[in-house]
Amino acid sequence: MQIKKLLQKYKFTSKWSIAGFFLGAAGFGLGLGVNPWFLILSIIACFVLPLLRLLGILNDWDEFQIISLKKAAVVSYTITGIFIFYMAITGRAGLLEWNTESIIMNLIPITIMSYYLTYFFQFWDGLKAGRLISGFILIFWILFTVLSAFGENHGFTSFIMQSLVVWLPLVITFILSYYFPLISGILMLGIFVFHFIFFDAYSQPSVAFLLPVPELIIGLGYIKHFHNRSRESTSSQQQTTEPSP
Amino acid sequence: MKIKGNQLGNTIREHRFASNRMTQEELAMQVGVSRQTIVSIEKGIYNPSVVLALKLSSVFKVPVEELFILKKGK
Repeated sequence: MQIKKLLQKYKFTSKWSIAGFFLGAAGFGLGLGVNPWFLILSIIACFVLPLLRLLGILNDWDEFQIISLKKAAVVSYTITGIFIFYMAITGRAGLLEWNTESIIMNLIPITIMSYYLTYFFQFWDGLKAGRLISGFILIFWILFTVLSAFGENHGFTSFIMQSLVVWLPLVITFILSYYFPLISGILMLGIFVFHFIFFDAYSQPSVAFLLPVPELIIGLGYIKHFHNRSRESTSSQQQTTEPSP
Repeated sequence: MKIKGNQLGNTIREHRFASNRMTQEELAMQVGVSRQTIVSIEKGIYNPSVVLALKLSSVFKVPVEELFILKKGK
């Protein structure tokens, strides 16, 4: 009975999604860098629990969470499918060469990112979802710049340069989003354009899905949140100014 | 949320305030959903199932038609 109450109290929405996202990213990184078996960790963390929920074996989420999960699964499936077609077409036409490594490197981030981005924006409003994803991306890229600068002995100058280009603009928009969501959203769209060109993302879909695509969606989410909030405040003002019958 | 030319409105927020300013968290606990689900229903982003609508109406002790109103769309 106590466990049931605890389960009801903690719906695991944020905690389990965040834990799944981090474990998935960690498993993917470790799987590519250290041991391929860590990729199993990615699969379990990202997809096993949601699958059990979708099949109705695990009943710890409510109906809105399940509907959000279903939409995320469909969007992720469609985007991954489109990308597989893209690989097949460009591969057979001889435009791009795909090997096992490049397929893994591209497909896993695309599937995971499209899945989690859809779920977060479906379940939470644009501002909260944007902030949560910003937080994940920041942690991921801060770790990446620290490890790449000091782990590979690129030095402090490299760390400063990478920080200025990659995660400092994200920190600024993250802080700004608490006070000025619209400005933060517009800035985020600017950062998306900059990162898209800077990282040559059109030729590297996995890189595009690890930074510029989430930035684009976060920026649009902030702007949508601002638009919704101003519409709500306008309608509530209209309600208060209307004369009572 | 729009349903083919119609729009579903609700008075959950008003009923919560009338029920000793019940919080979204308290209501969520009573009907067994997450707080975000209540937020989405109140904002009209999500239309609850019949089961959840009946649970909500039993919490406020009002008929479902009083909680959810089908308006004609613009």
